[in-house]
Amino acid sequence: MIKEAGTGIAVLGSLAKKIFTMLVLIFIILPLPIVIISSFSSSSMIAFPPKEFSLKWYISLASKREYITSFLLSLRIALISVVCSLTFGTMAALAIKRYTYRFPELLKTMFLSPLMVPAVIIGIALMRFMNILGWINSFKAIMVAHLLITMVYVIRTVLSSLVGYDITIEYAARDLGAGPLLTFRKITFPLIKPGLIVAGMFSFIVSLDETTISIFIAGGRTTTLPVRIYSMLEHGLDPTVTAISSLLIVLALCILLLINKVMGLDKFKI
Amino acid sequence: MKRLRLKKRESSRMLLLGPGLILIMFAFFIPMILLFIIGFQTYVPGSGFYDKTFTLENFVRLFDQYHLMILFRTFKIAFLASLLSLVFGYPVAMLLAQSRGKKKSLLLGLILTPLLTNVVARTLGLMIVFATHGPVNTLLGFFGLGPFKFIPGELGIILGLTQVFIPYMILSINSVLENLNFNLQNAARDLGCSHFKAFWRVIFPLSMPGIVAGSLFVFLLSFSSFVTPRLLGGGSIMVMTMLIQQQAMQLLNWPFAAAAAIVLMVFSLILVSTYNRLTARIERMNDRTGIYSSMKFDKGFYRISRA
Amino acid sequence: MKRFTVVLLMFLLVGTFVFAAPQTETKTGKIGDGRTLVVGVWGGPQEEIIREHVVKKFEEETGAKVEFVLGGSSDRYARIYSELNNPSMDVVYLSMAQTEQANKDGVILAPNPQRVPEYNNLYPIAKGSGGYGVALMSIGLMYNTDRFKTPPDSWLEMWKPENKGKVAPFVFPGTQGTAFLVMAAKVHGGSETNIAPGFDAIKQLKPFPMILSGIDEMNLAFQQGDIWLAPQMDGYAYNFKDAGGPVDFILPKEGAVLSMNCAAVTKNTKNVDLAEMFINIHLSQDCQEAYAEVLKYGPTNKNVKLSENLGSKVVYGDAAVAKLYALDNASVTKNQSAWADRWNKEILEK
Repeated sequence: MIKEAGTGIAVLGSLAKKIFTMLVLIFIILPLPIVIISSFSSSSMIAFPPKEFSLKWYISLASKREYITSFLLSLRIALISVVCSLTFGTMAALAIKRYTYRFPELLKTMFLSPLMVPAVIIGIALMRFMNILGWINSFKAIMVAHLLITMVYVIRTVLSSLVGYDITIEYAARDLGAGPLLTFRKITFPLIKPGLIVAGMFSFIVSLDETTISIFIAGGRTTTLPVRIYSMLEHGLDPTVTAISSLLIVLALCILLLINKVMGLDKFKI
Repeated sequence: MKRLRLKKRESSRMLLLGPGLILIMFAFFIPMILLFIIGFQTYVPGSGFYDKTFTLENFVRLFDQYHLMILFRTFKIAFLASLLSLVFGYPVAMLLAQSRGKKKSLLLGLILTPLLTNVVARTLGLMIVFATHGPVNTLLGFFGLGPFKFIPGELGIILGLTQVFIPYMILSINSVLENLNFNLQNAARDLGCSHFKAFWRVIFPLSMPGIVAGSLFVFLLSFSSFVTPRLLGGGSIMVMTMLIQQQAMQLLNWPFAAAAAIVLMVFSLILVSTYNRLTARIERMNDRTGIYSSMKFDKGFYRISRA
Repeated sequence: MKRFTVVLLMFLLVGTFVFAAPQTETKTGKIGDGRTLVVGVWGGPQEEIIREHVVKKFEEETGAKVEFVLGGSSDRYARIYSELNNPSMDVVYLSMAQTEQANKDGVILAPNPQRVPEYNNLYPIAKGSGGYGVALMSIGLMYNTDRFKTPPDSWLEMWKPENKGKVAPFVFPGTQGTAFLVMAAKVHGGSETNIAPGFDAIKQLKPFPMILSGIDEMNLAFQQGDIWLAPQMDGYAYNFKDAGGPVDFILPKEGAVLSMNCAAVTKNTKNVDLAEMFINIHLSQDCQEAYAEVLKYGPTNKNVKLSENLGSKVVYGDAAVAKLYALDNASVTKNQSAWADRWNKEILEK
């Protein structure tokens, strides 16, 4: 009797737990479908649910050139970031790993320290510095900021895929007469390849997503897409942003599927 | 011979390190040092220029009643956001740890998609969801509640930060739970514990490292986030990051903005080093007890403040 | 390895698309070939009308492209100072006070009547700011017509107990915010040099339904009945009224505030020629008429003739300007930082 009552409560409890978990999952994902649905509204004020549906805001998006320019700029910055930060980051990570006889921890901390400083602070510091150089609002200023952030990620990821890597294999290859490039191609690269793929995808996402630092140093011709959307949201809601945001959400979904395809979601670490 | 080799290694080390080192010096250390210097200089009102005289005035001003209140509010919002993430995130983490195969991929997809989505697009969604006449209030209206004013307001910011950062909490707890043996719970039940008691006495304490790491991490992220509080607070709820932005970008008071940035940085560095020490201890514990098999924490080198 | 190749190929594909895109411009042999003019202006109806009446003609004439940076004028104002060496915008639209100060500090270029011939047709007030005055507005009271059957006639209506909790101030710093702060001070015995009564008076209005910063959210709140009274510019109020909003606009008897939007060319920009051509089109009769008709903004060009009905609504002509109260902009600018501090502490906080 007592035991049955106990099971009753347990069933009720596990049901409540299930409902709660479902609600949380809805809470996590809800904003995304809502943006997409709102983007098909025909009203000029963002409202949910929309009363009538139309493609108006996607058409208006096509006529507003600055959104497209910004999107292309963001893509370009992201691609350059991936290529450059993979190169520089891998080089630095290998150097840190390979030559650990002098201040290994100091070097590592130094390279990873930008991760520990809030983005607003990096933003204002870079803004002052770029101002002094006269680089403010220039493409190179944004490029430098994005490279900094993405390179640090690459270093982190490559370093963690080098854990347990035995450096003597490289020496063995060198002693057998392989040049440094051949050693890298045949020995080191295959070992860190999974790490590099993650790092590359991650740099791409991070660069495309970077908002806070760019708010301080981007403007005019060099307004990246997140910054443009941000400044639109800051000054009242223009429904065109729902259209461009929906496109970004779809892009994120594509990236997710790609990650799932290439490596499986459970191996993906933030 | 040996010396020659060492020299060669030294030069190739510099060659490999060079580009990265230059970038990090140029884009990070030099600007940070300059920021540090500006924090001690004098602001000239009504112009975008500043005086190079040394002063501590900016820091003194930061510790007046109003600015201390802002600092307190920033802490309060971050604390509540981590608490909510924990309460909301724990059951999801449990579910995630216990599921396999397709279900697990689907769950992970649900959790990771917002994380991969641009933060501004996500915040736009939150702005619509929590609007005074938005879906949440409509729903509550059916139950005769509300309408609540989520945004612009502190409540909206806290809920928004929770939504944005809860994946970190879930993944952090999950990384511990995943390696736990759920047979422990069953064993406890066989020994006569109730379902809840089995969880509360056995699983929960064992997942503590994940909870602490996750909470600290969400706290750190919320504490230093800018976009979410700015957009969901409608510009009228001031937090530290917004103060810095307003002073720097709207009032052109760079010395004061720099001083505020330095203070914010000191706090976040304290938090980061606590987090690092904590995760290091978890790893050591892991080595000793073996309960947490193959758990990997990234020693705190996550990126702070993506939002 | 195969999957890796696929990813690599995808990157290359996207890469070619991105890098190839900008090179598809056509050559027309015009002055602005391949050049872009960046214009900083308010979003919403103003952006739309400039797109319609200035940008089209400008792009046709010059072959250059126009990009907008939308936002409030205080953001732009701060930006032109911090970017003096390398401005991100070529043309900036500012408030009168900001233009005066920017002109004094030399961060914008002085008007150039030779390259902007329409400058000679402007009313004196539009020439006086140090930039090019493009539109004249008044800041008065926008009220909810469902709530007020007889229109209010005074700023003091906001402080009546029956309206408590339904009065929203505009954010400071900002054009409407500054005007409201000063008027709140004036009707309570203060002035630009004695602002304390203004802060005390606005504090009495708490709790605010919201602090206004965007036009859309403000209109929505009026529509929903969350706000009954708020300071606003004539043009925005009439615009919303025409769109079916339950609102109207009055000039309070204690005085409404004169406000003028100005366009200016940033110093050190590489596109001075294009910028001046752009502004000249904006000052021309056609565009100014459209501004008055669509936005209800008063023309600054003397050649613009408005119908009687329209002329009674907008700030039209020297006489209408003389009736409005012009702020002491020098004091406002000097105190801006201190007032913002005070606003943060006393108005935003409980």
